[in-house]
Amino acid sequence: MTEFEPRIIVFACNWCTYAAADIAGTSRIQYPPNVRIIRVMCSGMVAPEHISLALESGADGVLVAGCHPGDCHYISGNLKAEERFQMVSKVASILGIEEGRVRLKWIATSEGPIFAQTIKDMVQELKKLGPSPFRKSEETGREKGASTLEDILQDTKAYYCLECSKCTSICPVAKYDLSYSPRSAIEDTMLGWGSEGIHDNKLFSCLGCYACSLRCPTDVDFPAFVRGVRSLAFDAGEHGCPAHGGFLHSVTRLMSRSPYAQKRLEWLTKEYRTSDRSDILYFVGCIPYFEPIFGYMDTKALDITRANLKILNHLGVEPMLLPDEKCCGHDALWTGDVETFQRLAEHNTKLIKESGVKKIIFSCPEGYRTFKLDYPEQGFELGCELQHISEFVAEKIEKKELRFKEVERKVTYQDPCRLGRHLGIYDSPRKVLEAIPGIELVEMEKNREYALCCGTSAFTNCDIYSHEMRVDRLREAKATGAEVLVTTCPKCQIHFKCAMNNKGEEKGPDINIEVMDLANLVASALE
Amino acid sequence: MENEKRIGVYICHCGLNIAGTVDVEELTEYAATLPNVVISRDYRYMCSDPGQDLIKNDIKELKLNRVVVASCSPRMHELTFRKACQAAGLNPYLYEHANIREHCSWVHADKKQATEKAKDLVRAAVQRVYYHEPLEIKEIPVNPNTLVVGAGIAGMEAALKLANGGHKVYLVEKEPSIGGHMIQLDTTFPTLDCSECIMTPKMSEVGHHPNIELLAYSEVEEVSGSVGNFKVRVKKKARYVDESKCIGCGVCEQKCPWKVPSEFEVGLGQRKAIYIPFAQAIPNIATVDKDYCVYIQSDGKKCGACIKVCEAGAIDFNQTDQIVELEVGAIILATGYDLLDPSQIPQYGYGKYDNVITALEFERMTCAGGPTSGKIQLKDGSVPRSVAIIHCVGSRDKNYREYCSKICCMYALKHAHHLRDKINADVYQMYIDMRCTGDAYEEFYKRVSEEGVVFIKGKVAEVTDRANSEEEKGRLVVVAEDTLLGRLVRIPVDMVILCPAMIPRADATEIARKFSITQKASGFFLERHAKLEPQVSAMDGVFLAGCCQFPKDIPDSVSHGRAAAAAALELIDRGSVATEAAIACVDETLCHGCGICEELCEFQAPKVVIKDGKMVSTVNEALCKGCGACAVACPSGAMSIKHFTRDEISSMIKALATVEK
Repeated sequence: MTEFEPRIIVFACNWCTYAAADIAGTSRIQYPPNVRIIRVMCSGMVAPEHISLALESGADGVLVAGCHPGDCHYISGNLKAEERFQMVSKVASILGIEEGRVRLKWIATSEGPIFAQTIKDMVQELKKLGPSPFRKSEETGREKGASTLEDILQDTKAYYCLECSKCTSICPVAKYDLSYSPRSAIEDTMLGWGSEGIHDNKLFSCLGCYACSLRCPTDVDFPAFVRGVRSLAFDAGEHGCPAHGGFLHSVTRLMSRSPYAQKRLEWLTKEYRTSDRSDILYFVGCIPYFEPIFGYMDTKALDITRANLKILNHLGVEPMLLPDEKCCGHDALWTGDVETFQRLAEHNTKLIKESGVKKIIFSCPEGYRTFKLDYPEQGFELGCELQHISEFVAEKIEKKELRFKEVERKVTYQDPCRLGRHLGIYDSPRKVLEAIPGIELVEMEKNREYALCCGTSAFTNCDIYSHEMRVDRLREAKATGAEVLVTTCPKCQIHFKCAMNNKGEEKGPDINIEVMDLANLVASALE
Repeated sequence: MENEKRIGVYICHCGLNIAGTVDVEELTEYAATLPNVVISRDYRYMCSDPGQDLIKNDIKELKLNRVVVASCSPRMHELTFRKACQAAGLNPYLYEHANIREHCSWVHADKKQATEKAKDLVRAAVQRVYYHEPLEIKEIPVNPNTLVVGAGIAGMEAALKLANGGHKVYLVEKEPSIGGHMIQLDTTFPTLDCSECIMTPKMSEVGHHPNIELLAYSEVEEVSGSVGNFKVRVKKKARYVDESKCIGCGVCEQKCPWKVPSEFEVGLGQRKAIYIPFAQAIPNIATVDKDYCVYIQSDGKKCGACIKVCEAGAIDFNQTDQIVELEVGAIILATGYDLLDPSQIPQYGYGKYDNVITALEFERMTCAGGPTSGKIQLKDGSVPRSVAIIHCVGSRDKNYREYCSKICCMYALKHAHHLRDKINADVYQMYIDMRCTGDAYEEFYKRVSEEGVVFIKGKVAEVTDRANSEEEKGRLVVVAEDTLLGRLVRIPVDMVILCPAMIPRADATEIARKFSITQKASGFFLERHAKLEPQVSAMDGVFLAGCCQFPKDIPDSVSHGRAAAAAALELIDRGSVATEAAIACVDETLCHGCGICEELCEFQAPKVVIKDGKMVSTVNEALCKGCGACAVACPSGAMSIKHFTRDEISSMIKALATVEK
């Protein structure tokens, strides 16, 4: 049996570390052949997705190396690299990946011997840690191309399309991106668009917001159609244009294949009561990952989770929290990565069944929708009741089991697509808002089933049109005179905050408004 | 077919350097099997003319549109092969280089493993080159003016070479007069030339040169732009004296009642609140030190003696600092050095004992125009009978400065010579090594030894006034081990001269930041290549002259200054500079103008502007260095770096990280 030989990927900056490796070569310093060096101009060029992609591809260890602080050829590129690396480290540790696998080191041009020693040390350490569980193996799960275009057109009733274009007239993407049209997408497909069409980037622009279904006279399920075609596109290697370099998708893929126990509950302190024997599960979702990834925008994503727990505890519920739940798979499914979705769904279904809970409460509408509609559709039966926190709280308000203290704020409410049009839940959040004394709810011009999407879905194709959509939505919010825009979706909140995150000197239209999750508002109003 | 990629792969043997470890035949055969590879060859020395011809011929005959060479480090020959491609009509950026020598054959002994690794590296290069796009190299015109910062010997030499060649130079000097440290020296080793005598003609030439615009008593505030087109904002500090009227007669200084320690005299002498730093100052104009001028401090209520006595009516207390905007194509930094303050090293007694002085203070003492009119004397005015000169005060010492300051052994010999010559004092040279490396330096050492100077090889432990014997009472005792004799010695002397380490200027970090250059661990400015480019900084268009880059003696400073001038001339004569091709670019369909790139960039390259009513980022191609920091931070993926796109990097990651199970 041959000993395991770790594969190490080194991202080496051109001016220092790459040169150091050259000097090690010129000096004939021998080191193990396990390392493969990728030259970048600066360690600041190494993106989080480069590191996660290396891990996904099967690297046992990744080393980011550059100039010592103060020596960067581009002044501060290495300091930026360090910040990004800290974020990736945090994400890797939540994923449960061993610390020794991803490393950062400053190696100067003259430090050839240190480069060689670093490699030797890393090889030794990785031999002890063992091979990466992400090494490529035979594919398991779904066969590629299980659905054909024919099947998709049939299943989603796309054949019934009358080509009336009512969908295009209400589609928010079409409003800003004049070249986009749901009608023409279906028409092209039916005319034999076939294999060239799946390479069209616009395929990934649909937000899945279901505004089209409000108008379609013949029951065409356009978002499902797009989802289906995307799975064909994915098999052909197309991913649209992922935002944030595709890091979030990469993390989800790693999570889906990972045998590691995650460390996703580090934020859970003793002031929040949970129980292993509860009938109610609170599904945390991806928020522990969003906290470091979107930290640069000062998005304290975990505050939403904490608020939810506070509310549940206040209502006498000590929910179960699963320490190893995984992403619901929403984004994977909506970008055509059916295999990843199935892995995640299988894992979550197994854990939930084993837990014996009778009800799952969600704070994220995407998780809610995915568990409620997509899991059963793909054959994953959970056997328990599902609810959004706003529904749960509204019920308690109805039964007069909950009283609030006064919070004087004028607010408006964003109906998230996945809670509203997907699941038909418009009233519960409003009931909750109306029950808090002092809250004045002013509706935006487009509300309930006509609410405008926040602009980006599945962190893909986040373009100028997505931004314009958000800006208009924020303008609508401000036009109500409200001080706060309340949402019930953490993703909506992230996207709105992004629109307001303007760092340049050119400031653009004034769209700044406080954005808050309903849970945070409710938590602040608890007696 | 238009989109067809036709890749040629060339494996270099590099004699036996690669071929001795990597199986180059196996590698060449393997490369031929890779997707889109049309031809795979190997050759003994790819960088040679026949090697390059292989590539050029294949480009023409086989219609190659992508080329990969697997050989030494790209830092050696990437440029060579890019030029070869260009010569054959292929855009040089359609080329990729695999390092199978420094990173493979030279560091891995196992032939099988080295060959396997080489295959991975070649495969990665082939996958990456597929995504390369032709890039345009733009030439932008170079502004023919040069900025020289610092008017010491190095700066002045640089300025004169450029000016004599007919080019305009802006010479900015922080102090009221030019001259730097060299004008403070008495004589220079080994020739014992009078420093002022050799320097003042140069200073005069600089002061009167039609092509040199001298901005003395001025400092650089801000630098923007890039090589060929810098914009520099300079603050001309207010002297409170009208330059056009002042004739440098010095009467104001005579009449000024307020005495201040003189920086020029290194604290040994005094000047007045209004002063001309030294007799040969250029510009020969008085300056008012606003921190000590009572007229200014009292808001014009007290004193004003200078106003009354100035016959030229040159005093002008209404003057304010002025800002001047300069446009230049090249910048030469010649900001010089400082000396370590020896009071940090308490055992030598500097600052504690009156007669422990630094070598620079001694220069002022022996200088005929100095505070003692050239008399070597103790604090109480008497003449010392014996003097110890202590080498390496702070140099060659990991507790202070690890490096050798280069010039001290030589000036110590010079001081020893003057001590013997002028006052016949006993001189004890306390040294670790004698470093006399220049032309006629060793001969000077011999001469000084012949003059009766005593050399003791031993680093001084302390200088003390605690006497152990009658002989030592009232004197300074230098305690050391004479390592050649192997015994401790205590030498009673009257004066101790310390040779302090040469250190970077106190504001070196601030200067480095302003000019976007970096410092070495020692604090001196980092050169682009220690061996081959000592006068070039890592920032294009910014050159280094003199001791700001590292301690050096006068001939080396002169050479260095002139080398910096030559580097600036290279730019100016060429007339244009090629912009970096692998720079950032914006996909305007994805960009929404959030400005994260603008906030991040150290070079002010991306800027959010309003285009067709939309906010979008635009990249100034002359400023962008292609570091990639903005592309990583861009949330929508609008920003990417040419030649280092997502596809290019991820294709390499997949090729190299995938391990067959």
